[in-house]
Amino acid sequence: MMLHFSGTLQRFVGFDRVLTIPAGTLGEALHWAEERHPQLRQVLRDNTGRLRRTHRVVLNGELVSAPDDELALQEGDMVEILTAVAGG
Amino acid sequence: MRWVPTPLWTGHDDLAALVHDRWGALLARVNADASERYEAGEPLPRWFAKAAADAGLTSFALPRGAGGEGAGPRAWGRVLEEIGYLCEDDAVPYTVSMQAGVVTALLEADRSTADRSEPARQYVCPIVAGTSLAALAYSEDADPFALVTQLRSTRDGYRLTGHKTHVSGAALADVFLTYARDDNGDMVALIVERDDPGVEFGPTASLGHRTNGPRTMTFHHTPVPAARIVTATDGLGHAQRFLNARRLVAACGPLGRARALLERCIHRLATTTRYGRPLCEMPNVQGALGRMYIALQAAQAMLHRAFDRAESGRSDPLFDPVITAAKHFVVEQVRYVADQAVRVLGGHSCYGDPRYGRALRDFTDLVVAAGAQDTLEVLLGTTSVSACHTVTGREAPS
Repeated sequence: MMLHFSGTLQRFVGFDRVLTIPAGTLGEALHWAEERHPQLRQVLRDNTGRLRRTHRVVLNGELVSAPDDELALQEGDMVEILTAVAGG
Repeated sequence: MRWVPTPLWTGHDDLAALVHDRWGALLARVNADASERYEAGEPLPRWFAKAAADAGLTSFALPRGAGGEGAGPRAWGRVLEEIGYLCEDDAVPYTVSMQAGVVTALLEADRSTADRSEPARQYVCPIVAGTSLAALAYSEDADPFALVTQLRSTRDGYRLTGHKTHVSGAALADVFLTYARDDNGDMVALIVERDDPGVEFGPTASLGHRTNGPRTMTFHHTPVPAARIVTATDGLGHAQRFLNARRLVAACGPLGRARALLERCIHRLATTTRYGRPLCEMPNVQGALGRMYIALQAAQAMLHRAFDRAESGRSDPLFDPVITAAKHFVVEQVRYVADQAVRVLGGHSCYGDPRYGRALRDFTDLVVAAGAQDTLEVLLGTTSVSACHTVTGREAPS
């Protein structure tokens, strides 16, 4: 599967827009990315380990309403992480 | 006889009349010295908070369970717009909507619990009663992932250290909803009180909104009891939810004010003679006035649609593209109207009536309020690209 980062998140993955990852779930994919880009975990997850609400998960073009680590993925899937934050 | 709005603006006469009848006297009292306070950079007078609360303005849109009248987003937006129309001080719609926003944020933070959280229990009633004023202390001149204010846990609570670069309303506010990073780097939402040890206020220059009482805020190891924590995790989500709602209400007052500005402009042009006839009879001036009217009608349509969406519960609470587009569009239209007013009025707008200069400054300030226009454009573009599934190759419509 492919993990796609856009906007403000790109700097936390070294500006690699797309990571190709061998993963069967969203949790595995994010964990893989967090291992390679340690800053990413704090940005993506809150204190409880849940994905922050400001990050939207789009799976193959469809917004996932309540994404969690158990979200099943298949080979060839494209997951976009969209982060809409403003102000500061 | 019941007051009726100018025929130029139709469609919501009942709410316009309600604002005039119910709060007109209060707004006229504010107007009496609005120019002088603006020039002096003085905030709203302290009496305003209590008077607005006593008149039911602060609580108009709050839930009945919190002492409010339970008006929905659509009515609240219209009320704020009409306040902007009648009141020359932008700090009025800003301040009352900020009180409602903070109360809503405190109440929403404890939706997951059966009982009201400690911050809600402690602060909601005084804010609703107008005995305590609230402000948002968020800005650090940084992106949301680079805020540096820190909340460190101690044996008996927390210590807050950091700096907020621009806090609107800080000159008068008693309590502040603020955000900081905790020991783990997660963002926390918390309440700080004005008189807490180690809280220091400083002056800050402001392009516009000079009666909003902006200040810098610095926290020097300020002790914070655990009972002040509004949300202990994902404060970023809490802040974005707050700012998303803020985006919508922040555009209302200025839109009403721009409508009043157009009317004032027309009255002046009708009594200004050039080359033997009133300026308002010249086709180029009429064309400019027409474009200003179109801009404001379009802004109203966009804003009211966004409020309809919020009223129906269909808006995204953290980042709603329609709300965001509405804020962006309204700000650009009111800036256009103020600029056009200067062009058709000539020197009068620069040295004959300070309202036009104030509007130019205040409307320009809105470019950075509740999410800078350029940032919002990028976010809307990103959202649009994703929605069209470009990444996964969905075909364009024929």
